[in-house]
Amino acid sequence: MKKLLQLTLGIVTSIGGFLEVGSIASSAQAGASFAYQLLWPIVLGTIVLIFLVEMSGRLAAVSKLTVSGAMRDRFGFDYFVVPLVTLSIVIYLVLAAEIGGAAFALQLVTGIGYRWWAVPVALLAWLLLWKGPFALVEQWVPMIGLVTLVFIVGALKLGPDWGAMVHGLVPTRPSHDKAHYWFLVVNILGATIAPYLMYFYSSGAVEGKWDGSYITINRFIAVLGMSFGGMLAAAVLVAAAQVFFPAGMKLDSYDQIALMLTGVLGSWGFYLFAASLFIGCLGAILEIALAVAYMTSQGLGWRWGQDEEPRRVPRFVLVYTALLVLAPWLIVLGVSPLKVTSLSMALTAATLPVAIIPFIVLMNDPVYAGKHTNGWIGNVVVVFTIVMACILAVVTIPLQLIGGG
Amino acid sequence: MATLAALAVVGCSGSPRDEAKKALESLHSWAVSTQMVGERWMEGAVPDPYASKALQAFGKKVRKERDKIASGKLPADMKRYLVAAYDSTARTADSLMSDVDKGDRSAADILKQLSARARAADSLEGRLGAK
Amino acid sequence: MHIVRDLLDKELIDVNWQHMGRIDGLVMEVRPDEQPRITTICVGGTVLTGRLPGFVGRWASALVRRFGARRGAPFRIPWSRVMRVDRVIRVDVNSDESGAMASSQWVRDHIIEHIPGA
Repeated sequence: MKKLLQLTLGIVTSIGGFLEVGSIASSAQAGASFAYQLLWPIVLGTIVLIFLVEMSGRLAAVSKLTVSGAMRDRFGFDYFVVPLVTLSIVIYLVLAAEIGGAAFALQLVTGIGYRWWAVPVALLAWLLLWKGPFALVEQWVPMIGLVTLVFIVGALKLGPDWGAMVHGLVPTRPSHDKAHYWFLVVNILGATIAPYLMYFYSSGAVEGKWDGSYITINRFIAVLGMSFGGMLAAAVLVAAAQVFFPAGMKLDSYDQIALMLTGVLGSWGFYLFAASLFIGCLGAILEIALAVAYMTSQGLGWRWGQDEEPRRVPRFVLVYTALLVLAPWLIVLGVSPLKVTSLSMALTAATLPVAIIPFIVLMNDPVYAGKHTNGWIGNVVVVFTIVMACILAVVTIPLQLIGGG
Repeated sequence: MATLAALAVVGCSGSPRDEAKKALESLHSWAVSTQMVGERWMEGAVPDPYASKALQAFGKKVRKERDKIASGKLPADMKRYLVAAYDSTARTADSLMSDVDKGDRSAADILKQLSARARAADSLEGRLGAK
Repeated sequence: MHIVRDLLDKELIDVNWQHMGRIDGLVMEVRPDEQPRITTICVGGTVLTGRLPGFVGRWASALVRRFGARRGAPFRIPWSRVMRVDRVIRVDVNSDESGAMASSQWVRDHIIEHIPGA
């Protein structure tokens, strides 16, 4: 039973994958422009993420090593530095986007411009990390995160076209705006399969002192947690498909996305949307800041741990502090949050290969995975993901230029 | 009528037609967005600060796109029509915003104008698409 | 033993079971007619940045020499102090009192302690 409580780790990881600003924005845009046609990348992203998260947890349970630690161990510093540097650069934009999302949620409710909220949001996130134990991130974020179920309620109340939804599960060629279609596919996948999720999840497993007895429960957590997030992202798309698509609205700002649930749920719809956006983004901010601190510390051999006192793990604390000090300024300067979001998602997609290639080696090496090495299904999925990630990496920048506008 | 003639001309060549189509789609989208914010505000589903801020932002974006069209390569007739339509959408957003700021919920006729504008953009777009 | 696979980049645990970094470099002694042997384990400093290729490595090393708490000097552990070689390497060193944690201590004393509530 105590082990089952670790499900919250899966849910919080999943919020970072599916309910942060990037996923909400790209799902809503997909629904508005192509109705149900783009459900398939959400489903594909969910399946891939289930496998990768499960492997990260299995690695941590068997070897007591996190993904980042194992990467340095197995591939050496010369390789490790590549994902470390690329992640650090990309993550700066992702973090700015999440801060922008949370700040925008506050603008929706207060009417005070989002630029004023960026620094307070970063400060709040930092305080939660500085004062709170890991359990705060792991248990409170998912608890409050249940407010995001409003998307499912809204999508169902709008009376979705189930037949069209089933059709959307199968990839089809777009009838119009081909560049924008593929741009959204890349954005959805980039927003969903984010490397920091794996670093965070495996670190959470090590902080939770997982051992070999968690192998089975880890599988449940990965499947249930990621499906929870995937369903919510799908609900955002379905709601947008019913509200914005028939009206012919293209989504160019968060002000438009905020209208999503107001027709069917009235002012509750408005405030719960803002609350969902806020908590999703705040959860993602905590998760990202921690993931980078984990990755740097574990790879360079620094002492780390969110449950440790800050003075025991000074360099770990320094990383997330510096990150949260630097990240809000892009938003303060008035860069459009939606622009930062879509650029950061595209860049995440571009850096996927270096983050995922190590999985195929680590998960087949008995030194790290013990007798729980990958089966053939797992390997097929990882190889498929690597191929897909390489394609995404190549097409993402050109698509950003021609399909983003 | 002049507009339709211009559209017919545009219809033959590739790129300006796409550009005109995009401009109409975007006009439609902004008109509907403005209308939706106005309607929701009147129903009391969205708070005043949001409605005011959103309408302000929409007005700004519409004007930005209008400037782009005005300096673009579209045929003069088409350009004139689009610029006028964009202008009037921006003005509608402005006047709705001032209604919101004053708390005046009687602006139903503005919304009607908007939906007429969206429909007009739609039918032009339809003809453009059918060519 | 395979030096690169089994030693380099592995985690170091000190005598009090505390993490004390990773093996960033190794010093070997090669004598004629003898097997090469490892004499010293190096942690941190320019040993790590020096592993990066070309100008990136030189640039990073210059930064470490200029700003590092140990001015770029790695912490050296004689091979005789190695207690156990496993997936982690345990050494007979007290990391907190030997200078191995200099940069960690610097960050603690100069930054973390100054944050209110520390």
